[in-house]
Amino acid sequence: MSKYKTLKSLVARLRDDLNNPTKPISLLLIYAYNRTGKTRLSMEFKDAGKRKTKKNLTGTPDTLYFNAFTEDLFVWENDLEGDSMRRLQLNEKSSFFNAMTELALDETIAQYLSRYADFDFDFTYKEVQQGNETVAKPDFVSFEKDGVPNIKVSRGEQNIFIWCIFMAICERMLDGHESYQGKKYLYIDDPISSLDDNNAISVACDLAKLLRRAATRKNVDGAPAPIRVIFSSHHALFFNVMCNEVGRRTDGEPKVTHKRYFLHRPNGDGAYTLQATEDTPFFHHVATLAELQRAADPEKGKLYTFHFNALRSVMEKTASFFGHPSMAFCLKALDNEEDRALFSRALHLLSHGAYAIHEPTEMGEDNKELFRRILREFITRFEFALPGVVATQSAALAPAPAPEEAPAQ
Amino acid sequence: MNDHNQKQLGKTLWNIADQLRGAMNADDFRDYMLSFLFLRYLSDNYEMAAKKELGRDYPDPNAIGNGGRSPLSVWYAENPDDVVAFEKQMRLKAHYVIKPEHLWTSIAHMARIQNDELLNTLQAGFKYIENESFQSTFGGLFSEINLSSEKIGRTYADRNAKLCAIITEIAKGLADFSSDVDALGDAYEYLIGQFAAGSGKKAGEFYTPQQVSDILSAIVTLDSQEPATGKKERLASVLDFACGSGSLLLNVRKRMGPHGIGRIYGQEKNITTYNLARMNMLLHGVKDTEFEIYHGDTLNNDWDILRELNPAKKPSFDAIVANPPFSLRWEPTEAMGDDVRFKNYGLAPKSAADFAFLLHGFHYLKDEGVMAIILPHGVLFRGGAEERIRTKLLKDGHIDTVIGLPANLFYSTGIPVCILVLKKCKKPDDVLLINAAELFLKDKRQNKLGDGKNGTPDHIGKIVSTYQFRTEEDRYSTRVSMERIAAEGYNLNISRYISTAEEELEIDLVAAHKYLVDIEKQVREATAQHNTFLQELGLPPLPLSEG
Repeated sequence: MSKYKTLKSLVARLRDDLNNPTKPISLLLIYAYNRTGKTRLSMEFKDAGKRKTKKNLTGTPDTLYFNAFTEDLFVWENDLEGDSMRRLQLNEKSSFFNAMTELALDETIAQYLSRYADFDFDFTYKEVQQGNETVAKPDFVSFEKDGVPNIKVSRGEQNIFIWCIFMAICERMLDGHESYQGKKYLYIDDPISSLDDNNAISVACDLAKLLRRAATRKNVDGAPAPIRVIFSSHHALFFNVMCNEVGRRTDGEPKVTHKRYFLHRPNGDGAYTLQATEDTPFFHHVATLAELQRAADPEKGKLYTFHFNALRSVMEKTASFFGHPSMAFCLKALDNEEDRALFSRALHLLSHGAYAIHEPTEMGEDNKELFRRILREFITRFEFALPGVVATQSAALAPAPAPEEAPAQ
Repeated sequence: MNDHNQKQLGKTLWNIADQLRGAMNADDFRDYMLSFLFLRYLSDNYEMAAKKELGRDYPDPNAIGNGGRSPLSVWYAENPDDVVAFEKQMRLKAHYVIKPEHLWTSIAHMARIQNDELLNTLQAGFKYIENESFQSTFGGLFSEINLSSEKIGRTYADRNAKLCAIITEIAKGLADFSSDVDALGDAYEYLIGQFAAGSGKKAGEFYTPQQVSDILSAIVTLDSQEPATGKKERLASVLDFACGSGSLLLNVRKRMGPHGIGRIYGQEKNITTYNLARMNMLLHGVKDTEFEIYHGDTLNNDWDILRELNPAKKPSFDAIVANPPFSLRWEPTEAMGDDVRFKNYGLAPKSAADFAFLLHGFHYLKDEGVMAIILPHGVLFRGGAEERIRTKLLKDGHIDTVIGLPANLFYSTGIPVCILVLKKCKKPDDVLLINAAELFLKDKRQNKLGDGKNGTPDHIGKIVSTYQFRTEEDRYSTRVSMERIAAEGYNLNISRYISTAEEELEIDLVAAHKYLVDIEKQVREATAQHNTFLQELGLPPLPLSEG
């Protein structure tokens, strides 16, 4: 575990990780509870990339980032006077939209969006004076559904829409589009602050695919030219899916080197601790367990088949922590023979990776019961200390605190 | 059929589509609907030819003994020995053959009486048209129309019932309208447009708004070397390498007249759209021998005839038009760098295939031909590989005219686009820039260009005549020398060359002063008069401003 007095020194550490000449890491996954300072960390990282240094004389920003500030580039205009022209206003000053100006991204955005939501959108452009010429910049977006124009979309829909723009832009950045030349890093902070779990899973899968592409990117001459990525989240399930998706070996695809961290601010003061979670207790897996417990709550929870997957993953990690090669170790510890057989059958039937993840289906009542029983026994048998985390988790469910710093750019 | 009727027909059909598609998504329904329309067209055309062929022998359609059967079924039943000879004759006259039971009149009749065999008959009919109707192949024409799809219904009976309903409605809707070629063709066109507008971003991709299409076809049909001399007599060939539903090609044909074009060539990657294009051609009365539409990927150059290695046989075209997908992501391979199409200019970047499309078309342009292509504004100023390609095209004198169009003209995107006019040999050594971005009509979701009809300003005519006579006009068009373009680093952003900034109005201070003094005087007079009324009523007067 390492301690960092300031965000600045923490950023230096992360940048060192990504630039390690002997053992380059292409992807950092950071888990942290809400209010640890994730967003401020991402801003600090971005700022560090545009300071003028010997290496970066012009101070050209080296990071494309997505966080609460990016979401703030979009502001609702409710048209209180006319109550009809409701739209999402874009901050034209941001260079984030450069690709929107030069490329027709609408279709890419529409393709992503159709996987998560079912409304249509329209960008409206305007001419903006830039030096001695004018350039068309996106001005606002209006939304439509079932033929009704200018509708207001929910906060969640709005965020997923913004996320889709980001994905579309990311894609072009990885393709080496002119506007994003010189960008070396992607920083993605909590893209899913108001998504339901279904979308969280599919977003995670899409994102993981994109990050794989970033890590294995090649330039025009075919030489490796990876974009390094930092990803942070407070959402245990989302984080877990990301870890699994990125860590999974896929046939014909090179392995992605990555590191997982648990970021914490123990005393609420300025100091941060960063804990690598490969070789020490798996903090985020404890958090996952807490999440699973919430899902298993007969009153408020909702169990999907993919939760079996998550549970299996935690069991596998637990087994390996105790030095055993497979989760059979955890299953043996459950003393009921019948449950063991049932559980492995349920896992095999219900956890067919991509299928279960892309089309989340709710568990049947019998499976729910089985799941709850196994989870309960597992937690009791291995004496996981969940209560503290659960408390923090419920706090984490509160909306993220509003960003305090300078306006986004 | 006049403009009004045409619109009416389109609307009638659109309403049917809207009512009947139920849970089916618009794209799917579009394909069914258009196929039926197509069948009806082929049938009408065929029946007309058959009537002419058989003369007095053609059975009376209203004869009591027919029992609702089509006249041709009656004739087939009565003259079994003459069928072979008749069909042979029809192949010569109408270019194709349709069995009586597959004719629209028969199908519509089956639908009306809710015959259980409708679906099977229809399926057999489509298959027959694909494989046997035409001499040249129309294989796969209806491949995307799946009549046994769950989307229409769960069981055969459900599907049959649904088809009966749809076909009966369409037959009713069409009954009042004449069946002349252009009317149906235009209704088809209208529907494609409506569907493109009604079903979101992705479906709008292949649709070129009619007005933009008008500009392109006007440009390529003018004399290429001296546009001022007017329209060409004849085009030997015209190509659209991303033809979508083929409407751009048809627009060029319309302008040249039915005998003004030797042969029409189109290529389309999306199979459904490719089938639409083939139907669209036939529906507009283009004979199957007069056009060739190929299903394949333009960027990969899938089309055999375009890969001819013998330079003497290399195909080339008088006119090329295209509205390729904007800034498409593509995967150029290493071998692509040596491809004859790109070798001399370089590869377009992975993030935007715009210049790859442009170079593809340009490679096949005749030395004295004209090409007009729609691309996003970005191609005028983007850096990197695109800057190099643009510079080379400019230095070689291939870019003749650049027309900046208003934003929001297309269904697929609101990004501003431009038309590039390219020539292998051009006379003027300058580049004509037209800034047409500010002249448009605002419509609900889309911007539109006026065509001078119905009291609209003639935005389209202005663009075309500016190109034709290469005229310069303040804030609208200018001819820029190559030296100037070089000095700007081969950046073609139109606003660098044509300023549209509003000149600030000069304020005449003396006049303004007088105007304000006058107003003040009027106020005082009005107040004074008002006060006399108040006084008469015994009410307190309004205060007068200090003067």
